[in-house]
Amino acid sequence: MLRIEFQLGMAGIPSRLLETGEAVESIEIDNAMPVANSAVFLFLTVRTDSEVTEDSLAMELPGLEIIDMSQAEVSSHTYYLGVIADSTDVTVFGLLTENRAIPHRIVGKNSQLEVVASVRDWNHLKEVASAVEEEYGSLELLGTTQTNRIGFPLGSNKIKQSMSGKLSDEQLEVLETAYQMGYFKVPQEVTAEEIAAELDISRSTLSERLRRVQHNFCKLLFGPQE
Amino acid sequence: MVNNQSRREQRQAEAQREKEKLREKQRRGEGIGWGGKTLREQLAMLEDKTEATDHYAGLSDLSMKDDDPIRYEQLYSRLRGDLVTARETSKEVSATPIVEQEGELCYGLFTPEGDSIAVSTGIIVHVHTMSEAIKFMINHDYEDNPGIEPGDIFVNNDPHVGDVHPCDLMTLIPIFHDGELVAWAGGVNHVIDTGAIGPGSMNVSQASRFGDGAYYTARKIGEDFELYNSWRKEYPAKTRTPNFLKLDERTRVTGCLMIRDSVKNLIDQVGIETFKQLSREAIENGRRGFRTRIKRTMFPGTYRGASFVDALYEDQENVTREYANENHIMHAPSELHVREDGTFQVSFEGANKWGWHPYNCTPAAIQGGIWVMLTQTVIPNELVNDGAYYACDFHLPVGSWANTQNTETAHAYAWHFLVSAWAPLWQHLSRGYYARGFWEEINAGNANTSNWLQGGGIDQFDKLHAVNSFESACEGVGARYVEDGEPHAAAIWNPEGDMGDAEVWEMTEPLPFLGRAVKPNTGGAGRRAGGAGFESMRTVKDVSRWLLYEMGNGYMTSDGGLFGGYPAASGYILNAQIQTSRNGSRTRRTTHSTILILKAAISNPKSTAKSIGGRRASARPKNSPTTTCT
Amino acid sequence: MSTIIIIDSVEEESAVEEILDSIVTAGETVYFLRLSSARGLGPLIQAINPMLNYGVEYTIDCLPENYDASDLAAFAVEVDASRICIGISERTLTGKARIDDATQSILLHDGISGDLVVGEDAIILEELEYGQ
Repeated sequence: MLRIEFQLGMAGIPSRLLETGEAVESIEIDNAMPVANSAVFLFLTVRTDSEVTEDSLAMELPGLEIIDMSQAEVSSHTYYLGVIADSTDVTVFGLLTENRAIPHRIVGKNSQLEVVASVRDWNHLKEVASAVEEEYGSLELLGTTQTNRIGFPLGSNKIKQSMSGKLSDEQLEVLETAYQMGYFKVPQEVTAEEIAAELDISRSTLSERLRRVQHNFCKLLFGPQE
Repeated sequence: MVNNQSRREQRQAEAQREKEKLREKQRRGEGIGWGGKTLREQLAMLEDKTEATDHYAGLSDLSMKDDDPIRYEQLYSRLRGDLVTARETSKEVSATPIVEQEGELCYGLFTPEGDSIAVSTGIIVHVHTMSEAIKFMINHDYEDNPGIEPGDIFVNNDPHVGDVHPCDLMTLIPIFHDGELVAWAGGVNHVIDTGAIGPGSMNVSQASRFGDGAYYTARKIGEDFELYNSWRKEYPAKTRTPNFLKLDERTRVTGCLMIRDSVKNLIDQVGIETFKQLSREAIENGRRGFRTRIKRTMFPGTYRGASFVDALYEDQENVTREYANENHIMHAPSELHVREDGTFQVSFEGANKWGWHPYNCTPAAIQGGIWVMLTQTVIPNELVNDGAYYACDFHLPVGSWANTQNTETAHAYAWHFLVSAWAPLWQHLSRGYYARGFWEEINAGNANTSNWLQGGGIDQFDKLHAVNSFESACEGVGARYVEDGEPHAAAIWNPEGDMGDAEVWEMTEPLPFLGRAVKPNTGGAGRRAGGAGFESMRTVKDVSRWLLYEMGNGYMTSDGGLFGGYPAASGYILNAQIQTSRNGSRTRRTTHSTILILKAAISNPKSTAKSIGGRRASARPKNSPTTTCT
Repeated sequence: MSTIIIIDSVEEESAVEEILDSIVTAGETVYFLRLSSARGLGPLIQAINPMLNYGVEYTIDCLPENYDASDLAAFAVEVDASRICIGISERTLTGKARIDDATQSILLHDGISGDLVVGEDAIILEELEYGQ
């Protein structure tokens, strides 16, 4: 099985949102469920560069019905939306599923749609690609990797929502800083010393907080420790 | 003149046409090598295939030679003949007796990867030094920058790139066909002065390369068969003998162009594929020929020997650096490993460290140097090319005089150590021949070429000048097993040794001959004696501000005898200064006030077989500058 | 069996080693196909010595600057390649082997099909079949 990553010119839901004129940075489809009359439930994560209200979004998205909108606790310019849309607004999702490719990630960003999906093999990749090309004119393959598992389809942001409230602000700050500074990259881009200096905490405090974060993550993933 | 002009224009037009084809290939992203490869790709493939298959370029069959041996021989002989013709013709262009009389010149035809296909006669040490220079250019991406294109001319004299010493200037010209590099023509000659710290081609007073004279490191010096104006202005300014160097360059360019014409004609007649096949097969044939010959004539095993030579600097006036104020004895432990399959490895393991003197060698010098010796022993025929290089393996310890790996070391007279270090190699081969019954082939070793007379100053025409007598190209041949060696007939570094006419030397050197004679009993005593050397007596005349110095072995001989034969005489020098001022004039331009009488005798080859002892001629330390001033 | 290795940079030593080590067997023929972005494979070949170290026969060919996938397909048909390998020189943010335009045009070309395997340092298209 192949995991592929490709890029398309903007179309469908994300583009309509971007066309609102709001300072939307990116829109990710977390989940999509078909409902009657070719409508579809969409769960979205929207990042903006300023505060937006539900009304301002709804006003400018006449085709959409916003069912729910909440703001992320950690980063204030991130919103979680539940909407009902027409399936033609998310053709890429339809194209993937109709061709039996499993969508993992659909993100609209910088007038581009970035898609990660799983296909069976090379021939399947060609089928999916030609279906997408027929609809969108062209696609740009970005990357591929070999995998044995289907993995988690869409909604990887569920974890973000699940984590909210499970970690203290200090822990989140430590985690985010460490992440942003490249602590988790291979090879590491910073040392623990440098992060501790950035946060103005001691190295041992940093280490302790990072451990707690890891512990809480594991608890969420695997349940309480036996 | 008209013909010359039209020929030149014709050649330039050809280069332009070739360049067009080349540009087309470059637009397609292709290189100048065969099948669109870059030269570097082609060289890498060749090396890999050769190493993997133990056949040059992976050629396990010599299909062309096997299918039609007569045609193969005809084509090869034609190439080789044209190279010899190029040498014989072009040497008349030169004005130095070094080239014109003594023949210190040679040409080679090389594959695009820099392996010699065929060579002319002459100083064929450069069979391989030119190879190294071409490979240097390939491995340093000259194809991209400065570019290797039809009509280009390159020069090199850097021993670290591919040369023995900087006075051997080489010219290299690429030969193209249909936008592809198909071969290189190369020529080398020994020039009279390299602009070193002292006059002459092989100055010996410097401690480092910065006193060696001008180094031109594999440089592009012209395009469209025209030398760059900048080059024409530069190099004559870096020598005491600009006119001689200009003519030497014309000599080399003439020869290279003759070779290029010859290759182009051959390709027109037989087709490019045949030429390519011929060039590959000639080298594989050379490799096989060498192996076969070693298998047939040598007894497998390890042959050991050693040689030494002195280099004395302590308390000499001409030492340029305090740290160079010391005496050296070169130590060349020599091992030859011959295996049953004919593989041939020469090892200098144990050689002593490089020093602050100009006798250091680079691997290119050693490999090239051994070449010229092998052609006088193992492959004494026209089949000399880099095939033999591929059949040999050299072990040269890093940091020793034989492989300095240090760009600060001086190399102006690398031959001093080189020829001395060869002495045991002749004997290894001779022992092998003896064991296999090839007694007629035995040679105790041609003589160390000592001594050399060099100098310079303001000459008899009131001009800046440098001299470098090559009379020493006329040593005795080593004693043989079946007869004595030939007297005064050989130079170890040039199989066509010739001392040159005294009159011709006198035309370029203000050193009239008072006499020349055979120096008897210098060949080392034994059942068979080495050939006798010679001596010359010369005087200095009509000069002002003149420096003279000699070099070569002095206190010790590097030519040990074989099978118990006695060593040859070492070189000896006698300098005498007689005041003959007639009027006591103190005018600065007076040029007759001092006459130097110089007597330089040359060392001789060793003997074979036990007999009564031979005596060394009287010796004087080498490197002693003898200066005469008004 | 014969293999085409497409190389767009001399830095792809590890990819070539992976391919020669684990994909190609001794005695096979390998065609190194250089894209114009790689000026020369000399240093790479010198480092790897395919014949000496892996016992493969090989040649070096180059594709013109503005080649398209059909040029490559034509080459593959001509040499009857059973594999095409592409070195992975870059990765996406998520660690996937980055696919450049050239690779994409091969992957989506109608004339070639087979199995796609993504290795550590190389993308391998094998069991190749050639269509129209």
